[in-house]
Amino acid sequence: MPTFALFRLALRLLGREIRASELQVLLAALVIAVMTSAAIGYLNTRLAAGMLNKAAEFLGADIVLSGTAPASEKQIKAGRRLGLKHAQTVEFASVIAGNDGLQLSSIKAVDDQYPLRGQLRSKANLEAPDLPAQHGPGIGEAWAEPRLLHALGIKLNDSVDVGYATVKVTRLLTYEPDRAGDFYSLSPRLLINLADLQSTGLIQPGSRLRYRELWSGDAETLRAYQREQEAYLAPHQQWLDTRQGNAQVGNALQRAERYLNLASLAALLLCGVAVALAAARFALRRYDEAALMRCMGLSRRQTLQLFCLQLATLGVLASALGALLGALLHIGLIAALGQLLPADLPNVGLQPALTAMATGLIALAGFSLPPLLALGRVPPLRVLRRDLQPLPTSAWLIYGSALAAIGVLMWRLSLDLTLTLSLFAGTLLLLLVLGVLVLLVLKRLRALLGRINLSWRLSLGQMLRQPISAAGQILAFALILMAMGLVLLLRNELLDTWQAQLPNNAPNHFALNVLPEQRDSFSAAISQISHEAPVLYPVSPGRLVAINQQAVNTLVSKDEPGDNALQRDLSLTWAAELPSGNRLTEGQWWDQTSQDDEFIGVSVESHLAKRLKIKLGDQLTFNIAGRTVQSQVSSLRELDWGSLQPNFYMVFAPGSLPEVPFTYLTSFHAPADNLQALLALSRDYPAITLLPIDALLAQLRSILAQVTLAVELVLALVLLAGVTVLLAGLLSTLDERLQQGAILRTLGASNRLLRRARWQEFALQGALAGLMAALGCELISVLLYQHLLGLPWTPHPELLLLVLLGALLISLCGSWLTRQITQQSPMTVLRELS
Amino acid sequence: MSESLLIARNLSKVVRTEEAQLHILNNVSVALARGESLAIVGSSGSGKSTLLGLLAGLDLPSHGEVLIAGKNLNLLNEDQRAALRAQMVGFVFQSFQLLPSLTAVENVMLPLELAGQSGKSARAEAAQLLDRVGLAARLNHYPRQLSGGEQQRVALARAFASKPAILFADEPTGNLDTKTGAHIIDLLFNLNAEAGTTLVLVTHEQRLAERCSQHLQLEAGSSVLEH
Repeated sequence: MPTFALFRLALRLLGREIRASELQVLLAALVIAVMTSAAIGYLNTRLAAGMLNKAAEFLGADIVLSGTAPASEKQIKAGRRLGLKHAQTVEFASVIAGNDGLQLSSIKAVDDQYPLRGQLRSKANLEAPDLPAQHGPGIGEAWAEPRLLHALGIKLNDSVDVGYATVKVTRLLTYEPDRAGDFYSLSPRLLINLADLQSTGLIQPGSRLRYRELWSGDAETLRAYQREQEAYLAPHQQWLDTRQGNAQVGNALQRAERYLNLASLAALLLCGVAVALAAARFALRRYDEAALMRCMGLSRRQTLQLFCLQLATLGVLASALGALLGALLHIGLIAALGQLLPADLPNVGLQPALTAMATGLIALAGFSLPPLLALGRVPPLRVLRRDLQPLPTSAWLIYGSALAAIGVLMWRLSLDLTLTLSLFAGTLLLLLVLGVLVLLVLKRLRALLGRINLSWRLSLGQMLRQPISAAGQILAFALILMAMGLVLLLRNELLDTWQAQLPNNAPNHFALNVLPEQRDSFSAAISQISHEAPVLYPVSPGRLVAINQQAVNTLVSKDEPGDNALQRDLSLTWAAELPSGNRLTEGQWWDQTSQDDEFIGVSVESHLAKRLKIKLGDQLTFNIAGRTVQSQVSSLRELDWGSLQPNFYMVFAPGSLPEVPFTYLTSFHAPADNLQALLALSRDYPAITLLPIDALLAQLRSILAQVTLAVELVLALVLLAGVTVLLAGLLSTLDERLQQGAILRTLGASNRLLRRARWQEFALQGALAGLMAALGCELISVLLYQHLLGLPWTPHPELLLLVLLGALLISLCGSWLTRQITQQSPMTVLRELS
Repeated sequence: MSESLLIARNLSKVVRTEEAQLHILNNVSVALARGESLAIVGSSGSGKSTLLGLLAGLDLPSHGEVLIAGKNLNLLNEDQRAALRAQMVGFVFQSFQLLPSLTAVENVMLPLELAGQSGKSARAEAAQLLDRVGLAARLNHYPRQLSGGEQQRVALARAFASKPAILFADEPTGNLDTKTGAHIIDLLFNLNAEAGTTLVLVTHEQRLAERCSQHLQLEAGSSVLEH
């Protein structure tokens, strides 16, 4: 038969049979799979891009090339040639001279393009409103943090000397977008114009400067530029991108992205199960048709082609429809959530839609091919003897092709081969174990069969007649419940983690330069404002000069990227107790260490220790206020840089340091309505610097709100997919149930008995599936938490609710679907089925 | 017998069950020339349908051989047998076996289209055949909108559409009342006479068997009476 004629026939059959329930389920499952995939794809891409934009504020750019020497002309020209926007900043520490004295400050010279992302904010005077600015100070001007004016004893519009240059302080600097990671650094900021840098005469060989080349543009070009420049990077240069820009945002983004991918995988798997069930029913109902075609002379291949063409056409149509709906859904959602989302969400084109379509077709192929293959093997003799079944498709082929499809989808979504393979193997193993468990349970139930009443015998009999297929169905339900459970579990866990990271009473102020004699009164004043006694950490600036008697500058080249810790004074502290949020990784805290008289014990932050190859017992030499202090590493600590607590690289044993000058540092939460109290505080303690970080918190919260929103939307879609699959699964046994019900009614069974038997059967199936799902969920969550999401794992007894949920959900859906049994006359049912 | 269109020699069919070997058909032979007709009669379970399946090449015998137009079916693979069926064989079934999603005329067009005929000419020819079986007014009705007798008439039109050399009919009146059945049989034999088709008919109605030129009575898989 010519292919064209075959295709025409396939289309005709499909067109006529599109109303058949299995094709509708298949269509619905595919549309939902592709719609979910497309909507998540779009949301994911756009939100991630939008969130990155927001996160980019913390860098002041999309990417930054940071170095201790200026970037080469060639590097800058290359970026400009690609059409990227560029800005430049140079940061260094220097002593500034004012009317009354000198103050070490952190100077930042910026060009007129700075910042590329986010905005500078400043005030014309202390009482004036805080306004966003298009660019930084003009030539000959400077913006200063209010505390710098106080320290130098100057007023606005006074001049200060920066090296050889004199600049006029014209505005008060209140917010720098890219200062977030460094907001409690000790020295106050002075912002000057880059054009004035040369005249300061401070750029000398050997000066410690940090050059930052800021770049922004579309993601593709940025990546191209980064790739192109990789080979030309000087040893002192390194890339910073939004993920490194800020610990909180980076983590949140990464977790959210993984979660969204995982959730869309769950939705896809659910729909895959629906496709498999619907395709099996499609094939089963076409055995007669296939036999007839063979009888009429179609070859096996042609018979198979005829049915594959039908499903492929359906698949393409469903995928296109799903992609369209998915795109519309995400447009609708974005419109509905307008205020919560950034206004300038980037457009991401057709790619997510096309990817989602491809995903749908892969799922269709992987899950529907095995049952379809049986159609090619239907014996033509079936036209005479309807009991003849095609040789069953090899179980290896069935599971192999479904698993291959799952594998491809997993790989595409998480792009992590090890993880994909281990999840894959884990799920496979789990299914095997659970399958055996279900069979064992069913076998136990069989023993009960003789001793129970009729309604239970009917409901159990239905399941036990074909234990393998009943186990298959229960496993399929378990898989659905498991996917739903996991997605819900992870969503709660993520939100909790974020909530814990940024509780409502997260510190929103830092206080620096608290003098020892002010300590008690200041602490009391803070307690009044924040209703919580603050922890004050003594701080003394000091520099690490030698490790095991070897000078640090010989151990670590000053051009080595990334070690800011060695290029400036460190904030050194001492404490009797391990600061909260810190965790010892090696060694012991003071009270358990026998102090070596010769050396002072010091606890070092573990990442810094790793970078500088510092080990327990190493001797560190510090220069603190002109004195040399010898110390010995007694412990290493991990700490959470994402927390808004004061964090320290070096903590000494209390009372061990010689008399060094120090001040106190603390962070605290001041409720928003307590502005007056804060103003009074800064009046009472003029020398103490109060640093509000509300803007930073607000930024973080808005990012987390977006991520949370995306997570909730995805959850809703996954649950929708789950319920659809449930219906598909139940539909696959509908005919059989209808027939059995009709026969029983013909024999005189009451509607009540039938209804009860049905409820019991579905509830039992649901409860078993729920139990398996709870087990599976818990096992998979161990793997996911530890390896994918980086969250600590604890048991979840609440998962046992899945048993109840499964029983309820499946008996509700099942009873609704099979209501025909008791509503239609048995005659009608039997005639329709024959 | 050299001009025989359908030859079966010593056909046996044995099915292995868990307990023993089950002999469904024992040493049955048939020879039919072009235009002849054979009635296979016997009670239910006597092996009638099995024999029909073997003669039509839908299944292969355990022993013996079937030749259609000189071609030994044992030597052809499944797809080659399918091709032979497409060329030479037509079927009428007890349960009609119409595709429910196709209209009457589309069901009749099916074998023509499968043989590569264009849609337009296939439709014209199918309409003509349906006219011949008295269904000119029902061309675009679906099987579910037709009575049993009408459905079997569509099936007859479909069977003759491909102008088969041999027509196999499996209890064609089994699902019909006596009057309608008689009608269908008249139609079947008339069409058969017009086309000069060789007919193999499975039935348990003596009345029907008597209209065939050869009879084969099966009992427990063996032929007990031939005339």
